[in-house]
Amino acid sequence: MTDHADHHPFQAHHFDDMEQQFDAGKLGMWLFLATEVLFFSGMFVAYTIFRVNHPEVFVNAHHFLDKWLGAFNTVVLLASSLSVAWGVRCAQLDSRKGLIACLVFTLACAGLFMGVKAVEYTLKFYEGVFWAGDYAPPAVGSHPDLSAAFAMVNNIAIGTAIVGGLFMAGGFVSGLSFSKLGTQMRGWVLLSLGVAVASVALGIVSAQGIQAIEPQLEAAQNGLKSALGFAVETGGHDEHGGTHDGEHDDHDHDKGENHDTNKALEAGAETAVAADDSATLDEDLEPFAGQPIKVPGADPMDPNKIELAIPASTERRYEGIFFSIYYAMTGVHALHILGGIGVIVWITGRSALGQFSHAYFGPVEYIGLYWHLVDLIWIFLFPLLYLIH
Amino acid sequence: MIATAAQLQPSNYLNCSKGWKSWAFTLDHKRIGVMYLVGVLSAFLLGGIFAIIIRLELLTPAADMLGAGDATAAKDRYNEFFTLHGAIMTFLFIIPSIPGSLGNFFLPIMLGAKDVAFPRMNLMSFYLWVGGAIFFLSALLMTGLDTGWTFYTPYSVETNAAVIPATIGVFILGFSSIFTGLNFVVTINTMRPPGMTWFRMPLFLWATYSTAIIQLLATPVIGITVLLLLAEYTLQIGIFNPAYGGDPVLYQHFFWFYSHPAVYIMILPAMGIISELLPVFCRKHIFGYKFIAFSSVAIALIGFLVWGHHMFVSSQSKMTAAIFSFLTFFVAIPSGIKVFNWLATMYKGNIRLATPMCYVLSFLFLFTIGGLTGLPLGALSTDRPLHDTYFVVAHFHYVMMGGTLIAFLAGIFYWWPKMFGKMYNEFWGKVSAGIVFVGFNLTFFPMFILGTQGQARRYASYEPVFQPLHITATCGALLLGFGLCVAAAVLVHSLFYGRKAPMNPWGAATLEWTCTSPPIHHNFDETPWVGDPYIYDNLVWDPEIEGYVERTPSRPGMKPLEQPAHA
Repeated sequence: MTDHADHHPFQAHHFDDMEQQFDAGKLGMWLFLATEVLFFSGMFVAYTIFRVNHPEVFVNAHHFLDKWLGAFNTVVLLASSLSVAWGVRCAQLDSRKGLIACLVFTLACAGLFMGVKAVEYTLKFYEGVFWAGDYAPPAVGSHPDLSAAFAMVNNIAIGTAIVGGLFMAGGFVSGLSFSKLGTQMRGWVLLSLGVAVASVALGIVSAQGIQAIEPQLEAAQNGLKSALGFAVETGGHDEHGGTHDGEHDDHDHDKGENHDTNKALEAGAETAVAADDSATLDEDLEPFAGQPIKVPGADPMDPNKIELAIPASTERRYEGIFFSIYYAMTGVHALHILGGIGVIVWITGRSALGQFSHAYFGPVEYIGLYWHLVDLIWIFLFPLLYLIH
Repeated sequence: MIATAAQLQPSNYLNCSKGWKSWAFTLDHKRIGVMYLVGVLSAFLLGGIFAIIIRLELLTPAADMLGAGDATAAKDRYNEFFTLHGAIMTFLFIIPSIPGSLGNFFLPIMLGAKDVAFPRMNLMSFYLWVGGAIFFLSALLMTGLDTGWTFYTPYSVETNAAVIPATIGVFILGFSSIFTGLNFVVTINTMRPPGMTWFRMPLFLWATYSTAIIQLLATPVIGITVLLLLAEYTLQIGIFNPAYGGDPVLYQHFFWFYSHPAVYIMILPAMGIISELLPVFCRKHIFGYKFIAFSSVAIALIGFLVWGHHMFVSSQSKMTAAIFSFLTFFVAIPSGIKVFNWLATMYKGNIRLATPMCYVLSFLFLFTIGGLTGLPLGALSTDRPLHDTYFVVAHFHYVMMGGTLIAFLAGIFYWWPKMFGKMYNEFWGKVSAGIVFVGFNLTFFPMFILGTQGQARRYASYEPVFQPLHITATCGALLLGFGLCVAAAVLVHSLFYGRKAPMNPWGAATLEWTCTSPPIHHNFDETPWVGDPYIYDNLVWDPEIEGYVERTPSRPGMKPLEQPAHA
């Protein structure tokens, strides 16, 4: 064997050289990501099964989700993915400053994401939009008073801003400077943690800002859509269906197959409210669950009311399952973000100690790969949950 | 200065450092393998005790023993006992058994590496196993668990039993299994020394590699399944619970998507052990090396496509059932390839009935019965009457216990001298193999008959007409337990009174036998020379050290000068 003096300080004893160590780590991370994909695949399968069986429920239920917040989070995560990849590049170029800046920016994005998610969850909880077991949504058309929910998210914002600020202040007190890298792990760890926590507050503020300007965003989107709509009519047709939004009734442009069920469903949802008192019927109606909805003429005053109530009441419960799946998928995804934050803070600390260089940047690359996967999963979750059409 | 015994002994992985911390925080794959061995064997003891209790309850047609005469209490206890027997044996024993203990210990050595790729993750895998075991035991000590090891919904989300700790335990054990598999794949892919090509790898490594692929790809699915089940139990998310519109059959699909491939996690390493031992004790090159190697991979891949055969009577469509049945028969092909290659290896071999070989022969017999009785269960028409009868119980015990456990014992007896540096008593080793074989068949063969006669599984009471066969099975179970105790006694006795093991007591040509017994901390003083792992011509018996030594230059066709003691 070669002399120990020749070894890189981070080469483990059982590897022949740094290249073998890097390859092993990278393969290990890719395999771990494969297990992550399969872990999420269970929920994607559940999503697919329930959506195939109850497509109208999914179309209907997703209106509770705010696609603008989802879009904002998508942009945030994409930006974080860019910065984490940039960080790997910085490590390869021996730029410690750049590496730390990229990692801290990534943490800020992660915090922003969690802040927006906190607003979404809190509002839904106060509306009663829970998973199937506790699903009690507001009646269609009613506007529940959400001032308590907003007070709650504001408290979270203040709390995270204070805690994050304290961490950051602690970081500065511990001393941090780019010129003395190599000795200052604690300061940078505290600072990066503080940035992540404080960004949650920023995310909450951003989410409320976005919600405030949503009418303008809608208008802008409609303007863009009609402009595109003309273009679509002259050119290809169905391909652009995905850019449309299910929240709007301008289905005329859309040749999608759930066109009819969609309208039927809206009618069905209203009858659901009418028939809400007959919830006790649910047990007896179990065998009818999953049957296609037949609402010819869908008149609430129809004397044949019970027939309408059958699909409507069973459908209500499937809406609950939609949110079960929503919470399961986004919740597990958010847990992965939290885990990622923890690891990136640790990697930031190691960067501050100057451990990474062109000769040894494996851990930066591995966390980068992980972070891309977390981003990628969100790229799938966003259209599947928020943009159902 | 007087030299102590320890100083006189050459340094090895067992004595290179002392104190409990040197074990608790060790990163040495050999020590982790030994800790796994102790762990899984303890779990096996516990699961075995439950098995004996179940068999004792079944001595009489009425449900009486477990409830002290109260039939309802006896039935409740019985449900808990067979659940814990199944869950402990599956999750705590069979799945981690061979990969965790023998795999961890020998995979890097047989490969010629100094350790697995991620030693810390390896240690963590063991502690996750311990954590999962603690959750299981807490489920046992709390309100018990009576869902069956499958946790089928809706019962599992309605019962008051300790579903929460048990499912958390399964979740944690899943990560333990994933980490082991990840380590093995990365180690084999990136840490082969020069000369160790894929087709010079011992077949045990091909088997563990295939196993590791299943562990990686299937285990995450059980992870998310039990996580959703946990959410179902605590929050009523309704995905699996029909009370909220959920789909219990979806749960079964999720569960078996893992648990069927998990069957191959259990059996593939066992097949690897057999492929390793047979040529050594036949003194003959393994027949059809590449066929055996690729059939392991084929079993791993086909294993992912057959989960639906557990659900033939769970409201699958006829078309789905027919497809799953068709695919199920495909597994028989690579399994058959292996068995025929093993038999061809034995043909005209110089067979030596040492203790490991006795277990190997036992395996061949039992596994073949287990495999062939799988065919009527995979065929739709015959599965209908046999589903959930004792025929199924007998079938999977022949495969899992007659297959995996017997091969595990064969592996332990084979590698014991290497692991602990002591030779055990050959005579009593062979006696244990005989008792286990007879006890096993007495226990489980009557169950085939019971199953075809309509005895359903999982009942504490039965029709009196079945009693003779049940009594036979219970007697067999006691004999089997006794045989296993003999095996354990032989091994433990050797630790204290056994003769010092030579470097290569069996004359095997894989790399671990070029290490000292027990191996040194870093496995090899210098990177070993890698040749064909199944050529025995150069190895000759040296009566002085009572082991084999390599003779160079090779003279093909030389027979050993003297027969070894265990021949």
